[in-house]
Amino acid sequence: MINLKPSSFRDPSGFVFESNGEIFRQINKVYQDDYDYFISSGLYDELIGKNFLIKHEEVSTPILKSETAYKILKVQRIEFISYPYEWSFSQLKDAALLTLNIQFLALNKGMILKDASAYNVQFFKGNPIFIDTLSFSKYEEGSIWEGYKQFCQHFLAPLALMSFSDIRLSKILTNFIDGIPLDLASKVLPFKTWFNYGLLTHIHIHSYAQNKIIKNVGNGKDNKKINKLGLVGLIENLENTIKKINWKIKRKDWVDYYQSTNYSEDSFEQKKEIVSTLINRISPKSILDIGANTGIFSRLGKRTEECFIISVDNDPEAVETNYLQTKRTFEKDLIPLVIDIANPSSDIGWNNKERENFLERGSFDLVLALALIHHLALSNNIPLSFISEVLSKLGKFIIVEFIPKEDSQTQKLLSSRNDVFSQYSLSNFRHIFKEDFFLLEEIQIRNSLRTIFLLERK
Amino acid sequence: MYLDPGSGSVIFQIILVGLLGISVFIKIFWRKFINLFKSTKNVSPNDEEIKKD
Repeated sequence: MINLKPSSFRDPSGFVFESNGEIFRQINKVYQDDYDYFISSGLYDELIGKNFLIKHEEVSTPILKSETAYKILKVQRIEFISYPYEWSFSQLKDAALLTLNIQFLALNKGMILKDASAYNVQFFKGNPIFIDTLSFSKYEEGSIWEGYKQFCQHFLAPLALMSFSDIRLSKILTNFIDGIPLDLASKVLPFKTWFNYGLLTHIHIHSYAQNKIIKNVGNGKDNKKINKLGLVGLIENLENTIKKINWKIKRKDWVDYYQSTNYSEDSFEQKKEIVSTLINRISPKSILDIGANTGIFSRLGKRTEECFIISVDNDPEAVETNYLQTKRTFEKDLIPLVIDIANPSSDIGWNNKERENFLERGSFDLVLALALIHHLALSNNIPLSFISEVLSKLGKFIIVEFIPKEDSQTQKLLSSRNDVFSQYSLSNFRHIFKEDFFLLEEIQIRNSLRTIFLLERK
Repeated sequence: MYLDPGSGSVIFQIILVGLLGISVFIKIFWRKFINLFKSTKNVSPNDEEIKKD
């Protein structure tokens, strides 16, 4: 059974397909010279050595019969695919710096990255990693960097908008699959960015050039010779610009937040113990933690060997904190992502298939939904049966916390609105979730009104 | 070339790279100049190789 990946069709150099659960990449004859040079120049080995590029091996038996094929590569599988509009600020920044680093190494070996798509980067084993083996072409003296505009649209513009305008603007990447148009970024960015040399050059003047020069000078195809030193200067300049864009988390007391606002320290510790015991009982290979905050409960899953964890929250600050922790402690098995489970990423791109929606992108052995249901039910008015249905699609086992109306946190949610939630009760929760799940365990947290359930999908 | 690099972007890149090239040239020249005064143990950087700061 061969499935062509609907995300890989723009580049005529080859394409990606899946067969029997393994990922392959076909290299077309048109890319033969570049591919052979990529291997013989030592660039491939260097990138693998630095953990910058996904590994592949050449497969001798043809899996796909095709006259255009030069070679077939079996590519190491990424556990979970994520997209730039789901990354926190530093994730996008690290992906940008990786792309530029690879460009430096490529130029040293006489090659050049022909594109600069943020979708060519994934998070794998704790690091951003480049996944497009076909992005490299032989550098010819004098040639321009064709991916310059794309780099500005995919990385620089969203980072600048996140940093100088609003962190939530990363989500507009879902509307612009080839990155944020520079004239849009230039309009939205505050006036002070005109005094930032890098942003003035690569966004404001660049966007002006796109709109004006094209009309007056016409086509840029004819005379496009540039000096290699200048090209290096351009990459260095972009790198410095990106490095200087920062975004600071305002709320520094996340750990405090857990303990001071939710419940007593004793209850909090007991909740950790309960969740930890239940996780060990399941021994999952994959965990999705929804509403993970900074990932305290996600990390309880690390006790099980060889388990990867996707830790999602709709708060960009929490996800940024979570990501910075994975970097600080060299965690290999946890990917934090900015996902609003009440409105998860949808299918986008050509035929609505190019980038897959979040809910169908993976299925998990275990889903954690702690301190989540009351937000969905009482703040977003989502019926309990809808929540049960979605959770049952996502994972085989679910650890879910039910917080009744009497709890101080739910009281807060209800304080400013009419209580129209007559269905929201513990007995009803049990009743409704039993439609989709077997109830394996029900444990009340000490000194609190909260209950933890372990459920298994029917 | 499978991407459209954009006519305006290409022309802008050519102008920008011209300016940045001068600054990289000055930087390399300056490094060499500084190295003249350093001990002979220091190997002067190779022009062909792209060094990152």
